[in-house]
Amino acid sequence: MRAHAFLLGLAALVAAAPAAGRPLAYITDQGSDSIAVVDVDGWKVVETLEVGRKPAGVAVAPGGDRIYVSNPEGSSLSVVERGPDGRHRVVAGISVGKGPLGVAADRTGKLVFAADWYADQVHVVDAASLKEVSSITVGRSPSGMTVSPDNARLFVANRESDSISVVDLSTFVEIGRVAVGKAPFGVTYDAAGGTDGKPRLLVANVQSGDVSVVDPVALREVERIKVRAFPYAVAVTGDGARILVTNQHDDSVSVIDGRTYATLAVVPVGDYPEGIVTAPDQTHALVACWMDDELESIDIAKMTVDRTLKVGSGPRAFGQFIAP
Amino acid sequence: MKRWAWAMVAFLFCLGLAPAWAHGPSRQKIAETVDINAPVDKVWAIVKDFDALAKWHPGVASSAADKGNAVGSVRIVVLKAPGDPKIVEELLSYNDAGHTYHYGGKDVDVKVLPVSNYTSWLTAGDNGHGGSTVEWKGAFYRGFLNNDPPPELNDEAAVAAVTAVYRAGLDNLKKLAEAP
Repeated sequence: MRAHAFLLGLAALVAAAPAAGRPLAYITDQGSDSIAVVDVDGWKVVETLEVGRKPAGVAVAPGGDRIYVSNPEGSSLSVVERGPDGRHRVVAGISVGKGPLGVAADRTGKLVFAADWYADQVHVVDAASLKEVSSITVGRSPSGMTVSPDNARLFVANRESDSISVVDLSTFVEIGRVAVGKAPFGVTYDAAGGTDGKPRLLVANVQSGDVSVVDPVALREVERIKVRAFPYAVAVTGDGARILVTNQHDDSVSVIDGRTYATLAVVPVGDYPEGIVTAPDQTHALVACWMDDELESIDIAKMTVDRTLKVGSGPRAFGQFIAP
Repeated sequence: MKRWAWAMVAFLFCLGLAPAWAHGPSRQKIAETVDINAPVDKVWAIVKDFDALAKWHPGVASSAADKGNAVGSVRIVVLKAPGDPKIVEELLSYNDAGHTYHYGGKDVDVKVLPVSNYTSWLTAGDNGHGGSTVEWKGAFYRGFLNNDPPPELNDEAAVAAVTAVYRAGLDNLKKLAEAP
């Protein structure tokens, strides 16, 4: 793997930087202590960057020029920037808590949140100074996070508390908690919503094998969708029409109708699918397959895998890992 | 099998090979393979039944399953060790035509196997030379799920234990399949 990463690094030096405006995916390769930068349209790894120990979480800040990576075993966040030449570099590594896992940027790009798996806290980091400015006590083993589009609320999945913490971002205080299924891990905000047009949170409950649909205003669960074994993360198309869920122990992705909540297909993918997002044009979803060291692309209309790409060892890509 | 695994851990420590990066839990994965001079159909016939583990794994005394090869079938694996330690495993997916199945630990004491939340895949394939290749791969966390694990429950111990289980099984499978 070292040699592999090294060769990729060499390749990155001689490859032309992708033109501005092409979507890029940032894949945390946990076994390689690195991230792979993937040119999604060109479907190739264009750069490999060494980060901290056992990177897992990732968040692309608004605008896409900065990427935050959590290193749970390094107790740190790596800060990656995309320069004007399109090249990436790690500009900082900052100590954050004991075991930062989930990471999210706020909607303004001013703050970064890191969920501390061990300390049951979310650390708040100022993006300009890269100093921790606050910490928020939440439920046990916080993992996935998402921020409401109005930047007022942070939602945190508490894996060992079977709940979602609701945090007020003007005070950094937990103001509510919503019970969901067993062991929630990934949480995604869908502004488009279902038939009623109301926004919703989509929560993957690992141990109950289902997805909770949560009303982020009324703060209650409104629907439960059965999926396959060990759902890990959720992606949704911009119009809310399709929900895609990685089923870690079923080596598949469930494609769900965002209006009726019917399962339309269970797409076989590589082993241990984890992070999933939709591509900016909303025609494809990208899935990191941890066991197979692959990034895979799902054609959402056809509900089949149309491309696979070898990345580093153990891709997790837990978070919002794509930049427009 | 268990004692072998622990012995391996001790061996690694004696060599000073256990690295010092034993912090928070990240999932480990390993893959072990064996090349067998026997057609894939013959090899698959030996391993295909979820309850057949005791017939080909030298460390297993019995491996009865409640629903055969149906997804959700639960097998109780009793090990050949003092006290008859057992582990409970569940079949997660099964593909007869593809010669592969995927199962996971359901009730496993870390004193028996120092891992948490493991799943494994067993796959037999044609090696293109008239023989076959069998791959046994697994994903798991170490036995101790918090910071600063004791050495017997750290990442290296988990990797050593699972590797020993797979290796013993695959090497014995080769002997069985190649027997005239």
